[in-house]
Amino acid sequence: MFLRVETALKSDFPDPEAELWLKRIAKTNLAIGEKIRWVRRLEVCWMELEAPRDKIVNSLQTVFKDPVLGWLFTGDLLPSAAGPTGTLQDLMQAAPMRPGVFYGIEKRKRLQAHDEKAQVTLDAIQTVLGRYHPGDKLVTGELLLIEGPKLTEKDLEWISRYLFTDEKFESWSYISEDELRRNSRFQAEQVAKYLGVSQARVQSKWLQFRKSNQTPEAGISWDHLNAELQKVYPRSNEQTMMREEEWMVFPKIEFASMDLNRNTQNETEFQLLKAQLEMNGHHCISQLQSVLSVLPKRTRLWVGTDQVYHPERVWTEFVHGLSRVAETTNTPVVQVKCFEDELESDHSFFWVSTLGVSELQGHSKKEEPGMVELLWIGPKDWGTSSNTIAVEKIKEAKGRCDQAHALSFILPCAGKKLSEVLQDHQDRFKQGIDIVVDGHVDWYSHMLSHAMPLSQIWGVTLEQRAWVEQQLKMRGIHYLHFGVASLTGNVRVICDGKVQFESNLERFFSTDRLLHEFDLLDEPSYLQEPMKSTAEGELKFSVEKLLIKRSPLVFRPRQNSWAGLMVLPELFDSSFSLENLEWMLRKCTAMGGQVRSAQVSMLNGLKAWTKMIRILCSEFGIHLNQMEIRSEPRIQSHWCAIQFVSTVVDIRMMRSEDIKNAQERVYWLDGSFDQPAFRWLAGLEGRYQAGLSSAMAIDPRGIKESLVAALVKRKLGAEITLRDQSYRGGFLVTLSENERFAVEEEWKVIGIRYDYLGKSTLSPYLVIREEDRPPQTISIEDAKSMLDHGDSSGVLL
Amino acid sequence: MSTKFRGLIVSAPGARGLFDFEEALRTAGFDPEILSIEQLIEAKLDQDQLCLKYKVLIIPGGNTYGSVLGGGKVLALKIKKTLRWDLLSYVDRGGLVLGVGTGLETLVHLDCFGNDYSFRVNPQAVPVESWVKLTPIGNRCVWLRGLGTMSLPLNQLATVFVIDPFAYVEAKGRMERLGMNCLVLEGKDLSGQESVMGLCDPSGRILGMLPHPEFYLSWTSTEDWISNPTRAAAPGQGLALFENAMKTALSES
Repeated sequence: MFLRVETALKSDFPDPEAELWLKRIAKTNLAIGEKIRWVRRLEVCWMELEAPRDKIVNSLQTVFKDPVLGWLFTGDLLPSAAGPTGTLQDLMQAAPMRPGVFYGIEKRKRLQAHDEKAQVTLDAIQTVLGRYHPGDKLVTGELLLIEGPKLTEKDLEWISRYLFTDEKFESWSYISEDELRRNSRFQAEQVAKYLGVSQARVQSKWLQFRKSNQTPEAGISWDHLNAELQKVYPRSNEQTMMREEEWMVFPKIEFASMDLNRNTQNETEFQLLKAQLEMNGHHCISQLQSVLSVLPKRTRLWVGTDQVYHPERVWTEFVHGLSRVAETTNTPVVQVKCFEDELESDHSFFWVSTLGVSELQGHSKKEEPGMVELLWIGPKDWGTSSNTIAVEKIKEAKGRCDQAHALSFILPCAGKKLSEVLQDHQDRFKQGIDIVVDGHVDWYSHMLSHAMPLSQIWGVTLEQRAWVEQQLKMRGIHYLHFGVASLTGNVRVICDGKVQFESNLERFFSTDRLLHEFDLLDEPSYLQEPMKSTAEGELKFSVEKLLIKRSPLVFRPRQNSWAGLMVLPELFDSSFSLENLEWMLRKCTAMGGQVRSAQVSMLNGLKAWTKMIRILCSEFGIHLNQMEIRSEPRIQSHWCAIQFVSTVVDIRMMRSEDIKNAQERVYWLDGSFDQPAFRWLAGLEGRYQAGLSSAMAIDPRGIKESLVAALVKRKLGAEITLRDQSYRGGFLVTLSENERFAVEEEWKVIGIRYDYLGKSTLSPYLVIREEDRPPQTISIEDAKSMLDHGDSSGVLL
Repeated sequence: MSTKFRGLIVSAPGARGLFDFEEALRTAGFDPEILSIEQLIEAKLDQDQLCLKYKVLIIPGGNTYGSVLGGGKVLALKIKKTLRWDLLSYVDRGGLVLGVGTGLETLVHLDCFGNDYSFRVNPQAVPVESWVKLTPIGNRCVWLRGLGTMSLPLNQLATVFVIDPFAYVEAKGRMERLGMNCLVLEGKDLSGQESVMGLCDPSGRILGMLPHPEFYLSWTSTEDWISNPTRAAAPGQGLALFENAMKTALSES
């Protein structure tokens, strides 16, 4: 049985240890100390005990409960052991400023760390249980409950990282106020992950994660992989902290970006993955064999200065362990690519892959492929040669940039055409190249047709481009940014933000006409009916490789929130309209997401779609952070796939579309994009969103159709009154009677237009009353089947 | 007398002053024995054997089991759940119990004084040893019988005695009525719970106290013995408690 136990002093007593923490915080960082108004400290234990529930309850009461001084929080196990509510709210009531803004910082001993307190506590529990069981496990930790409205997440991170925990042998996480008030942290699976006992469960989740992210082409034997992960490798019983073996390392896997590192929700897949890697990283010789994943980039592995060994040695040992992995598996197994909102192309990619032996040996010392900006350094007047002064200046700038490790490579260009230079250094561009011709078509056509003057092409790292440009400007050196060595695997010519031409590398480097073929992706003048019908039919989703991801949901954890890439796997044909686009936006919002950006994949794009996507950016203000446009003349049909990248405050609070109970109140909310309903549903405004039992975006076909779709899942019915014909383009939401007053009040305050339509009923009929028309009664299932068959001329309309 | 009374000093990880207790009991005339809690569990020393073999039971202070779960709690759980000793019935059958420092907390966790009392962390605790002047109150406690004001060493006052605020009046009244509050700081207001330095059970045979009598067995233990070196061989005031125990044992034999 997995248990989590929290003990705290009753609110009537002062908490000197918490005061001590506050004093320490204030002494170390006065600014943060002043923001904290109140603090309490709780002791936390995570445990797994093999015993009947009643015995466990009894033992917990005996061991942890202090009837005079303390409160005991166990979730629902012992509700009488705390104050009136049995949750942390009892303690929060003691805060002087109410209602306050609360945060929790929790730390716990890492599994491999020596935890004497846990051993004594476990001994005490086993004493009370009257038996010793080797499978019992216990981990101890602390929870700091802090109140302060001005505190930011950065402050909390500072406290956690620099004061509250010693990251070498303790891990920490935030707990949001919502979570503090609820009891989900006491659930078995939440507890199990800190005890390292549910390895199989963690592994299976990990597998799920990877499965969901695999590219369609990846020929992975998941069964084999699963079997490998299930294997138990010999492992030492000794506490690893106490060992002094030569090869022992303590790898701490960190993500390249702070957002991922500071992720507070430990149950995210990223954290599971991280925990898995960390866990297996210990005793790397013996255990890394079970790690089928490595982080190929050196920066992915934490090699901080407070390691026991020199970072280089840690890395070498890690690589050595990985080579063993590679020897045993001898095949690239899986590749998981996770990336963040900001830029898909930056180094925050988190790659997990197993390297083959040859690949590992071949690449371990080699420069990793990366994206570099291409700058042409040469005279302003292309026809003339550079003078000596200019050459000296370039040399000086080059030396400075070299010092700063800003240059990836330098290609001499004198006497060659641009195409020849690129061809001569194909290996530099083997990952792909984007040539940007914006505003300098003349230069481009000149360089393609004439030999270049004394000049160079610099490959500048993405992060340092601005700095390098500044260095060049300072010295009065003329330069031109003309492209990017990308990772797309293709050669693309981009003009005005659009891909004008795209070719694969092989073709690009093998032809002379390579850069003159500007295919402007004109709308094809014909559509072959057979091809079109294939595309719309069963094979509608067989073009996954055109989609960015196949997975239904890719998590993108962010600080204090869950974020998701909500993929709406709709693949549109030429019937795609702006109405559809809006509906998809509403759909994301109805689920509880805040739409942040969109990613578009297009095949043989129609101009109408391009226009719509432009509207997406200009009217809705949605950032397009990835756009993939391809032209495949062989297919001769049109596709457009859009996925909205949407952050969700809490994935567990995501709303579903189906109406769940009878007697729920059904409302219509005005849902134009500029309406506050959008902000409210996305959780950006207001606080009673949790009161909604469902929310759905109204289908472009109409409100009745949407209602039918929401009702049919649970075979419920509804009685609604439609007073207005203009219910299109909004949301349908349902509420229980209890929540009605609070939510309606909030709508009024925020200014959300709403209309009460009626109630859901148990009988599976939809009764519609409209002005000037007799009431209509429709069987839900009949209506649904008619809609499915595309018959919209019948009952509903 | 031919047969010596035996005293049991229960040792536990982190316990302190075991050999001082041993010396104190031996000086007072007992036959002391130090046994760890694990040895006792292994030997399965049950309540009957305890009553038959030992006249005095000492639960030392210190930092038993690292004070995890609260001072003395783990030791109390082991005594209660594994050895199944009932100290109240032990003293009914003629035993005497002394708990010092964390030992007092162990006695509280063993419900020797009722369950309305506890100890909480003292925010003003400083890690120094000091000497405190103590005044015994009443005549109920056999350990303190006939003793006047005395000085005893006190470790950092890491914990403070607390009466359950929800049953304060009843618990306080009970303490006064039964004479349980038997040792207080000299000159302190008796009504405050902070001045409580020792508790005894209603029979007066179980004494728990925060100061350490075992560290003051001879005059040379004090700092100012140099000022009066002629008294170097004189006994310390802490020894008087153990002598009282011996007197009681002799009077009952």
